[in-house]
Amino acid sequence: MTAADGHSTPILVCGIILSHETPGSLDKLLGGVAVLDNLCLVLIGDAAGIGLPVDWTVAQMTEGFIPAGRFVITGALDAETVFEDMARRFGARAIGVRLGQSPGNGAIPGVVEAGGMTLAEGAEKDTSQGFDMTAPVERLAEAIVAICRRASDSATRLEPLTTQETREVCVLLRQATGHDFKHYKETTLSRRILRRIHVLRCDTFDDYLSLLKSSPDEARALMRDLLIGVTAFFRDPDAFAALDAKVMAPLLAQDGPQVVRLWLAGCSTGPEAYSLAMLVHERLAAAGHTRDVQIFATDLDERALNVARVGVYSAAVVEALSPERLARYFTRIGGRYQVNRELRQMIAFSPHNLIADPPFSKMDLIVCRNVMIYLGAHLQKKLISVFHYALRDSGYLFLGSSEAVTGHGDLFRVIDSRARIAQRKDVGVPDVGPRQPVAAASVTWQTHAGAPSQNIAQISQRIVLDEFAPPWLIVTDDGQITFASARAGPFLDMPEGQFVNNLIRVVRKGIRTGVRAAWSEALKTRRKSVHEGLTVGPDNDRRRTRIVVQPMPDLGEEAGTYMVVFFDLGQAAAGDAPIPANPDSERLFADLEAELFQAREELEHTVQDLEGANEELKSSNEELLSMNEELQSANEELESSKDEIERANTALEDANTDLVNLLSSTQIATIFLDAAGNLRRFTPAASEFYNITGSDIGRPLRHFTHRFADLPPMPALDDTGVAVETEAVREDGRTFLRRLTPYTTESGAATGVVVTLVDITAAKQAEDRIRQSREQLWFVTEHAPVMIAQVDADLRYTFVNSAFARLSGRRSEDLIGHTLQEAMGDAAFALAEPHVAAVLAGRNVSYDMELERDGTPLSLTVNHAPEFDVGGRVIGFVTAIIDVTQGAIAEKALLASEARFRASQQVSPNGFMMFTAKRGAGGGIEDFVFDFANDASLALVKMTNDDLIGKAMLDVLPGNKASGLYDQYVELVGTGEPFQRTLGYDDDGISGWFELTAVRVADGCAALFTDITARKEQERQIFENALRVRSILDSVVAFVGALTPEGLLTEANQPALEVAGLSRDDVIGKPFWEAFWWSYDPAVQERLKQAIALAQQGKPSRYDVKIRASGDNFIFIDFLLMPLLDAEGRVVELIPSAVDITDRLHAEDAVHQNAERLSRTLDGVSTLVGLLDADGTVTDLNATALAHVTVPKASLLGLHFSETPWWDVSPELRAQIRQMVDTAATGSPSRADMPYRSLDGAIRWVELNIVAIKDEGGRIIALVPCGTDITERRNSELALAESRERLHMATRAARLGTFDFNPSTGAVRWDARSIEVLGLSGADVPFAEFLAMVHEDDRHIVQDDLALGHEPGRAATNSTTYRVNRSDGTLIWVEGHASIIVDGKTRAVGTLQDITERKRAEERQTLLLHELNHRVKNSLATIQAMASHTLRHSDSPEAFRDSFSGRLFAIAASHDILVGNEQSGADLEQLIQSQIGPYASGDQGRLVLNGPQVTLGATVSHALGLILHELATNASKYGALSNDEGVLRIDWHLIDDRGRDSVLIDWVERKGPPVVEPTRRGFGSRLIAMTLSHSLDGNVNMTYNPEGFAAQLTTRLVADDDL
Amino acid sequence: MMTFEKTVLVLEDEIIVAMDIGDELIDRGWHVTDVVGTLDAAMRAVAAATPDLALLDVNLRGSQSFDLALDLKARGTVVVFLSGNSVNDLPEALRGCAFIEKPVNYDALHSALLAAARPGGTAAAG
Repeated sequence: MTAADGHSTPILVCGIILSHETPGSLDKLLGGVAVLDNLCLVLIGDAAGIGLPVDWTVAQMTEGFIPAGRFVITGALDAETVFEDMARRFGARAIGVRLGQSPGNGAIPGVVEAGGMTLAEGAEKDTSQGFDMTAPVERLAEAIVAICRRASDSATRLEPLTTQETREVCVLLRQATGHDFKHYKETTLSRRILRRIHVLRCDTFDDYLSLLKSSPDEARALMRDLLIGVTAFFRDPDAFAALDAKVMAPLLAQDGPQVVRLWLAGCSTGPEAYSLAMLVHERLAAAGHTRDVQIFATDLDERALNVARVGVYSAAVVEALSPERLARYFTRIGGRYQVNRELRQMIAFSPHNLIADPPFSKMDLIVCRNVMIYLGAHLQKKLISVFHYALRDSGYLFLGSSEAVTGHGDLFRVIDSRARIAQRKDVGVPDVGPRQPVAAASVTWQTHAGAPSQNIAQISQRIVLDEFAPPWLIVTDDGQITFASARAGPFLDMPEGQFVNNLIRVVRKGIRTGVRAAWSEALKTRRKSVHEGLTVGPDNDRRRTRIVVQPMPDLGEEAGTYMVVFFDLGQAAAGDAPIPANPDSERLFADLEAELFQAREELEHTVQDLEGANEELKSSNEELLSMNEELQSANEELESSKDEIERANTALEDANTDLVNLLSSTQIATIFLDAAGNLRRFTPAASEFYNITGSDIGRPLRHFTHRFADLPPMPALDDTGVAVETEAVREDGRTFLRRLTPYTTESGAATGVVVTLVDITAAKQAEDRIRQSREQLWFVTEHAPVMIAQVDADLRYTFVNSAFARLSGRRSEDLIGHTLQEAMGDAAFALAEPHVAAVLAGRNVSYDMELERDGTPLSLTVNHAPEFDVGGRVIGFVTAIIDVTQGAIAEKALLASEARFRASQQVSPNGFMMFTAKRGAGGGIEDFVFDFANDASLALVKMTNDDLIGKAMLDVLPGNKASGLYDQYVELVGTGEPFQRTLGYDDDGISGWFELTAVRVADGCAALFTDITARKEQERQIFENALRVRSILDSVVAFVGALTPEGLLTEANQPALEVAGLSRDDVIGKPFWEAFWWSYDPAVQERLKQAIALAQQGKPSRYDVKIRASGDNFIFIDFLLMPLLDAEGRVVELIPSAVDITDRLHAEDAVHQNAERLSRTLDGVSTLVGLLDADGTVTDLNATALAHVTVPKASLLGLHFSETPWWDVSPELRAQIRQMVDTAATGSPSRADMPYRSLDGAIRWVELNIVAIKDEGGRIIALVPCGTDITERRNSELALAESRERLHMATRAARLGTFDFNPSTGAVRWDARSIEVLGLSGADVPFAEFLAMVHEDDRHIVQDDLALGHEPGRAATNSTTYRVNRSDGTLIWVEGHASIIVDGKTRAVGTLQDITERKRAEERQTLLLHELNHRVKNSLATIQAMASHTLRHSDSPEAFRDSFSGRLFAIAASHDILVGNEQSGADLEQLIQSQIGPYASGDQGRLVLNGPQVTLGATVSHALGLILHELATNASKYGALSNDEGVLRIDWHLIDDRGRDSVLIDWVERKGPPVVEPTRRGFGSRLIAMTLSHSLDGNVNMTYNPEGFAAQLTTRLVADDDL
Repeated sequence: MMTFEKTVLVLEDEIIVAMDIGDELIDRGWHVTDVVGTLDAAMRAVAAATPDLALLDVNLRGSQSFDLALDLKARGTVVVFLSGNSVNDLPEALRGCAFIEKPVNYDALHSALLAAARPGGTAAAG
């Protein structure tokens, strides 16, 4: 993979050292940094065991090569190499991460040097390992993300620090660490401080500053960072080559005593120092001589120095070295290289501060590379001076590639400018400290002179100085001329040769003495001195001159600057001319002067040398002083250690003396030998064994003769330090124990052997005696007819003889060590206890006891005798028991039993014989004579009683001899050891088997023959069966074997052996539980032991267990251990067997897991899921299903699905469910929405699906009911339907039309009502057509609202009212509501309603209100006017009231009639009645009305009503209605008055009081006249006849406004 | 009682009101030349003699007096409207005319006529 693969350049490269100790860490880290897509992760280490995500790019790393890309895994490559390569390629963008306790503790190399960061998993803020950050892995991931984020925007985020900021840091650093970095290069400071800010993730510089203030650790960390040097072996090889050729070669060319001193300043971790050492070594080797070369390598950083001293470098660091050098100077340690000791010893590494500490001196070469680049100019300058000082004359300075001595040409001469090698110049006094500038005075003066703002005084002064002042010089106190005025030339004369700048030497000869004298005087007195009378110049123009030397005190007493002024005093007088003549004296004078000058010069040189030497001495002195101090302290240490040594020595001497005394006093022969077997020391007693004397020390012991009769050879001691003991017998018969122990030093090393010889003769003899007496005792007790036992104080048997053992029915070893109580049983012990107590009290006890053994009563006499130790304490007792049972009784019983026995044997089916030995003269057995044989035995040997009894065996049964049986009998008689034997016989061709048991009886035998043919046959069959079974079992069973009842394996089948890679010999005959299969786990073994214990009790065990197979694999077996019982029910054998169930377990496990997973999955779904048998019986239900029932799952299993509680709604529902199940059982899925009873009893709805699951053969194996709760859905569907219905009803009721309009296309969908309302031609009349129908004044409303001007996103409901011209010509009002819906495309959905009727009604109402308002106001105006009129014509308030009310009532009455006729008009008669009735009431016949039915308009009615009122009022006051007889007759006729329908009303009064025509016209008559003429277009004619008033009124029926 | 030189025409269809106004104006010293109840009568009266002031009811038996008012204005007559309607019902051209609402506040009417009678005055009143 290469960078060209198109991967984005990673922002960060993150190297991770893996560790298997914390396998989860990597996952966490990767999870944490997953958000970064430009991070390159490099895993280092064996990733195989970690378990990586599959999408990692796996690349085998090659040395020093990191592929670009996202994820890379390396092989088992050296982590350091990877990191160094990473750091080299990615610099500060590299991050090193260490997970867990990976190999290679300590900071990750390379990364820090490159400016990158190092992180490690661990406790928070653990700085001990030098990482930038230690934290739990989650925090590391956060840090990486943060760093990456920072790196991404670093361009904007991190600006270089300001000078002020770096200064602050420097101040803090100096306070915290004592190191001053003030003069370090600012860019370097800034960069490295920023790195720390990065590392600590400070947000601002100020944050960092406060951290730095508070934390000394941080100050140290920063200092370390600042001190980081980049270094390598032979960095800049060309420069080193030049160094080798131009410096090393001359330095080391000759042999010589002088020590060559090399100083490497700033050695960092040492590669350069070792490079230098290699050059030296190579040069010396080439030259073939040795020189004493000292290499001092110094650095400020102690840590770096520690690295340098050890000299171990990674492969990447040393790769620059040639293979030859690598091989010659390095030793490989794992993946790293260590510099050889030889080279390491050449270099002294020491801490040294180049700037603050005093320098070394007398160096031949100083190497200081890439140190000055970090320093400011000031420090650089200082360093150069320091180097100049530290070097010997012509010593060399070797600098880094970007450093130079430029500007210091006075101190150094460049030897090789490319390689930056310079040589020290021999300059007099080195300029180490700061010095006053020499020309300070003149510079000051010049500055003034050249100042631009000169005033006239200054200018004039200058002119005077230039033109008129005498010439002058400025001279320093050491005679150096620093300034000369104009016209000083004639007084000076530059000598030939090297340029000198010395007053005395450059003034002209003639005045030189004068100058010298004046100069000396001025110097001495520090006052002006004058010297006159000197002449200067060519002979023809000699001038007299006055010399004035003037100190310049204005510059300060110490300035040491003088002015020398030459006054020209004019032509020298003749007398002043030098005496012309004596050339000899002239020459002499010149010679003397020359000599003097030479002497002076030499003196000056000497002084300079002296001063130089002085300086050197000073610094040497300093060195010596410090060395002295060191020596002093070393001396003190030595002194104290000497005291200690002396004390130790004294102690040692004491110890030695003690030892010698001890050895000689012990009388134990002890010999010390060294490793070679030479005598080192021995005790006097040793000479009794070897012929050695004190002078033999140092000689080998084996060279000496010894006095042993029997000396085993000296065994070799092994390393264990264990003593070896052997016995040796001396010539005098004494026995010695020779013990050889290694002579070990304190450190444990064996440096020799110590031989001790101890006399053990007495012990030996005692031992022998004890053994003998013990044997005797044993013999006696064992053969005595007495039962003897020895019991200790704890009542444990310590000894029993065999008779005692027989008595107790146990073996002696079962008794010894056991307590009496255990041996005797609680009951017997209870009897014995008082006696025991007595004997333990120290008394002899004797008593008789009776006991029964095997049915035989025994009479015993028991004696207990106590045993005492030397102190008289009872330590036990001895018991002697004597059987005193009467022998006769036993004999009699025996005889009786014998008789019984014989009788019984006679009828026994088993053969029985008895025979007695027939002995010869020597007592030896010659034959046996048969005494007895029962019938069965006779049948066996096919003989009669006579044939046998009394006969000799060898005669009658000679076959016994051949079969060896006879010899067995003989042996039996001799030993009494019964034997048993199985014999085959052949009887009439039928082979059979019998078992012979023989016992000794008296001097003969009894033999019992049992026919075991049948048993044998059975055994054979069993055996055959077993074989068969085994072969079968071998093929099907993993393990079959046989065990003894004790658990020893007697048989194991082949597979059982093969599976474990065992041979039969490995296991057969050994305890089963110790076999390889079980031995891997004590618990498993224990379990097996329990099973065996159970089997021993006849109980089988069966359990699943894991057994070990070969290769440390494991097999799961179903293990069965069966006891095999014989006929009597005794356990005779245990049969283990096993079936390999590994596959089954795996399968079961898988099935279980699948089921589990399925169940969990189903439980997780919100759907009700179950599992039914093919017939509908519930077999499983998921959690969701169960959440709806209160009963436990178990109670539901087994029910038919339709009987489950969910369907507890109605019997019909259960039937439906059953139907669904049945349908599903036919194979077709059934689905229905069903109600069900939920947990809270409410009915909910479920969408129920039942599907069938079929096996491969298509048979239905299960039904899966699956129910999704759709209650909410159903409710919302119902609600939707309802709301739809409501909407429909609402629109229908509201007669709303609806439409759906797409503004972008202009298409509209109209519903039927819309079509009806608008009178459209169809349901899809386009919008434009509709718009054309809209009243043109309203079109903009519709457009704005609906369509073309809509705003995207507007979804508000709008309401508009507009007019539409229907196609049938009618204009209707429409109210529209529209919602603009933006769902993908914009739509307008709206309703419209015909509101024409409403509009009209509204208009009418408006008009009506308007009219009403108008009329009311008019009425009020009328009333106002009437009141006004009435008032105007009323004489009194009462009159006014009457008139006004009457008129008001008249108007009201007219109004009543109009309202009664629904305003269409008033009936004239009615009008008359209403107006006149009130006045004519009570007198029928006084009012006569006659005329046709006439309807009058409203206006007319009003006006006429008022007129009639006025007439009636008059009549009631003055006319026919004012008395009791008067009659009023009103007739009316319809007439045509000027083309209009009018009515003529004749008002005639009669029989009233006499009529008098009024003198003035009242309001009434005026009103009448005015009214008629004014508004009714009518007229009135009133006549005041004496017989009665009459009036003729003409009025139109309907006024203009009534039309 | 002071009298005024200006002649006044009263057009009011409700006879009682018309009479009352006429009486009142006369009482207040106005020179009421005609009190008429119909447009026709009013036009006849105007034709006979153009009044200085005309007090016009707006609604007259289904007709409106606006044309007459315009005619009068053209003749130099100052028109004052008297109506149960509101001033808003006046056409744009007549908005400048004084407008007295019914029932009549005679003082207001008097002031309006006085203002209107002043040379160039067409004061609004209310």
